[in-house]
Amino acid sequence: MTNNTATSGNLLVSKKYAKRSRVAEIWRNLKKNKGAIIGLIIMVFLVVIAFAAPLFLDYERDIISQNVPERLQSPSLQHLFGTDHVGRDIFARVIWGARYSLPIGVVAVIVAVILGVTMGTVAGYYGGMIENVLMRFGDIFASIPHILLAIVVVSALGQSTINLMIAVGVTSTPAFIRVARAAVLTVRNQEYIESARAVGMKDWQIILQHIIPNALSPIVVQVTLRVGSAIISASSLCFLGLGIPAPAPEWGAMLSEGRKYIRDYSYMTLFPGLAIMITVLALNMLGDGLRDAMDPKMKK
Amino acid sequence: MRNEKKDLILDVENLSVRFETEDGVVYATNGVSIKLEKKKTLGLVGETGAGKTTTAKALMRLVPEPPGVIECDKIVIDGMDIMKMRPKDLESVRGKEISMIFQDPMTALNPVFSVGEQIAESIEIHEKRSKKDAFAKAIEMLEMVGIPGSRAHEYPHQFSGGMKQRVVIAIALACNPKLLVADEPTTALDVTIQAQVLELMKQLKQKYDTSMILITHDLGIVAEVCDDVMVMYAGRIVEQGTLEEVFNNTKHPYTEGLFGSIPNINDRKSELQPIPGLMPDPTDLPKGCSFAPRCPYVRQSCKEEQPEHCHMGGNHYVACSAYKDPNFHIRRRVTVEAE
Amino acid sequence: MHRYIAKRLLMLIPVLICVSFVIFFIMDLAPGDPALIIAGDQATDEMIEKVKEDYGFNDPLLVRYANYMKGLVKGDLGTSYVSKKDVWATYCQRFPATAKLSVAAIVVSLVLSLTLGVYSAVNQNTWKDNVSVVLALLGLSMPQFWLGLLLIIAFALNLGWFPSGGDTGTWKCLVLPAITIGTNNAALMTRTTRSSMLDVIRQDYLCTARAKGVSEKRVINHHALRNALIPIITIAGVQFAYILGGAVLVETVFAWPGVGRLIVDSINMRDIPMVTGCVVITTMIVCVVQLLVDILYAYVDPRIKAQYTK
Repeated sequence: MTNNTATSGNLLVSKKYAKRSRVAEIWRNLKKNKGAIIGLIIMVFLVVIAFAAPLFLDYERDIISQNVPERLQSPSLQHLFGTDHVGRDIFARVIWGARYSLPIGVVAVIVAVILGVTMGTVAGYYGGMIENVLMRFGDIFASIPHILLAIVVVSALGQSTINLMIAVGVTSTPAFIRVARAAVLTVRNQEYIESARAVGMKDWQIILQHIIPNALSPIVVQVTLRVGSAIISASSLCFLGLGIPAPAPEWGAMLSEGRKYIRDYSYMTLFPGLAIMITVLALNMLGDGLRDAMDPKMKK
Repeated sequence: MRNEKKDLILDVENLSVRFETEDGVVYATNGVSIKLEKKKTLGLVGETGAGKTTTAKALMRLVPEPPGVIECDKIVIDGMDIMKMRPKDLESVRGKEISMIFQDPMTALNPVFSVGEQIAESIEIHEKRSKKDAFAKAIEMLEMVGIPGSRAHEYPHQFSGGMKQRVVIAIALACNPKLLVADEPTTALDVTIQAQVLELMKQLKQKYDTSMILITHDLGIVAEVCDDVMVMYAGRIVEQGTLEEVFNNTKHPYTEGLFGSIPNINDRKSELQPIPGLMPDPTDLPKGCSFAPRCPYVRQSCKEEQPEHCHMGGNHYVACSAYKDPNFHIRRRVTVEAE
Repeated sequence: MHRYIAKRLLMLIPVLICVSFVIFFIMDLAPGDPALIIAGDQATDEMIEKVKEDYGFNDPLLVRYANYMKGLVKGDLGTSYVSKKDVWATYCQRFPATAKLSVAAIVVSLVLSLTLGVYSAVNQNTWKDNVSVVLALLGLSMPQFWLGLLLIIAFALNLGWFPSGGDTGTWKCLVLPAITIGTNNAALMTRTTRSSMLDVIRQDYLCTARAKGVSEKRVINHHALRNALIPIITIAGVQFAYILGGAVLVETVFAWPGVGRLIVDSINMRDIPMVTGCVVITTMIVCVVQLLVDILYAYVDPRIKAQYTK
């Protein structure tokens, strides 16, 4: 058993129990929300497809090799979503595209969480000058329209998947700084923090063991909402030609290619966009459901 | 002899209000009948949750009618049948014939409009005056409730609780309603302010000959201001009569319990006698008398049947089946000294 | 109140300085040698060195930034590497098109979101509410550039009602791009409006208004909406930044000759002063608009005005 002699240790144990039943309670609430469950199922489905794709598709053969005689064919049984301007099967490319969009969205948000929560927690916990500086810093980044900031970062770092993740992550950071700071402020003045300090816990221990678990729920809600917008931002950048270089089958990039042929081959712009929309819709429904499940004030 | 056909300002028969929600049906008001004569003041007494506010709102059909369902034999205000009116007619009755003062002055006023504007709106609607005229009259109303007219342009957040309540009273009385329904008008205020506001209401009532229904849980206020009393429990009237009849000749066990809960300043050593238990859940009312689970005089028949109203003389009625036995009486007996 | 405005304007200056520094710094990291681009393909090493001296590329970062800021204050944001034209002048030339588009988008967004949000809140939990909630969710999940492409396919190519791009000055050109940005924005604003109205609808002062005999229509549109607008205005200010951001994408889709496309083209051509200048100016506009919204806020909510004038 962990340290149960110190008062803070007891608090830690009790919080673990509290957390476990709270997770169960949140899951129960979530189940009631049909939209959230649909969203969850779709997300699981997409993740499975993304992982399983290499099992029945080969990157070299199916995704990037050009097949000019088959170019620009409308959707048919053989090519469910049709073929693009160099003869590649769009259905296979859309499926493979999930292997870009999903990780980019997730990693971008992880970047934002690491940066934002650290800064926000430090700002909220220490207050004073540190808080002022960090919040001003966050405000400055928040003043720059997201897409412009992402464009600037990508053009500075160069075009690659990782840089795309960083760029999108940086644009989402201010939201997490704000959320983390607000959550910390509500917890900071509680008595058990006082008692933890009185027992001699170091600041970073207090932050990790007491403050962050309590700040978790608004952060989790932000995360689910932000993954969706991160995916849209990433595909927007690829649409503009600033993301992952060709011939990667990223959905935004595919839309950009399809745009040249929009007049006569509009199906090229239909399916990748649909993929983006369904993914983000599922994430939003899940995020909404999570927020309602975690927030006792339900708007009925 | 029962009620003579007096001039009634309010005639309600068998009013029931229920709310049909996802979590069950809430029976807020059950079979309430009120007959209020003109110029009289009725005190509607009961604990929180007894259904007093819902009954009051139902009189003006202010109950939100998707979840709420109003059923009654009739609601007649000054001869006008409320249940038969179309929305437009209802709107001309509200604020003009019948007005309401709400419980919490802190939230009753719209924060983005000045107090003068809020009073004037009522005047504009009902007396069809221009904005300027209405505002001028609003200033008069403010003066009448004791607020300097120069403050008419100020916003609610600039006033204290007591003054906000005065503004609410000014709004309610702006168009000289014949019936004023005051829902716990002083509960949210300090005791000293309470006295001021009550005094103000008494004066205005006299000046305008307004009939009033005063909803409260404070028996002291009832004693000061009211002519008639109705005691409500779980949405039903359990005792009604004139002030003297109910206070000095208390019949219902619940009313007895209410008086018993008041600390006696002359007998500081005696224990407070609260009524044991809690009011029943309005979604799950007991089959028989709603007070049976808490009644010290309960009998088996009480749990099975709804008690009828027994006439106790004059205007005094009690909903208690114990009184079918002419020898039954409760413990409380107030000796009134002969003058 | 005037003091508050003056104070906010003054506080704007350090923010703008920091923003311009941040952007300048990031762009400075960009790979590629600007001197090469300026000097051209045929340049010799000497010519490249001379360019570096002239433009001050060999100076340390802070010196270069200081020079840049000196120029900024005078209104000189440098010259484009590519077109050799003045950055500020080019921005001003392209700005009206973006401004037109943004204003149209805001109008579309407000009209859609206020009506749908109020309608949804008043009819809460009925099928009408559920439909609009779902619509709002769909609108949020759709990437703007895809919506634009779909609208082009449907209304420009198939039905032929509107042009598929460009700005010839007629109102028809404005419709599709404005709807694209406006719908996306409206999706978010509808949720905010609905949620804000739901909060207000429960308030006691609405019951007071009804008890006065105010008609239900007036209760909602006058009494409730004024209060619900307060959080909506707050969000609307922030949303302006997104609208400008959306303009960047939509201008590309519709070949709209505005600032957004200028930025994208400049990036593809590695025209660093143009990109830096455009992003800095755009951010400044966003900050000023947010300040204006904050001031408007005070006029809608007298409690805030009281705070500002203290």
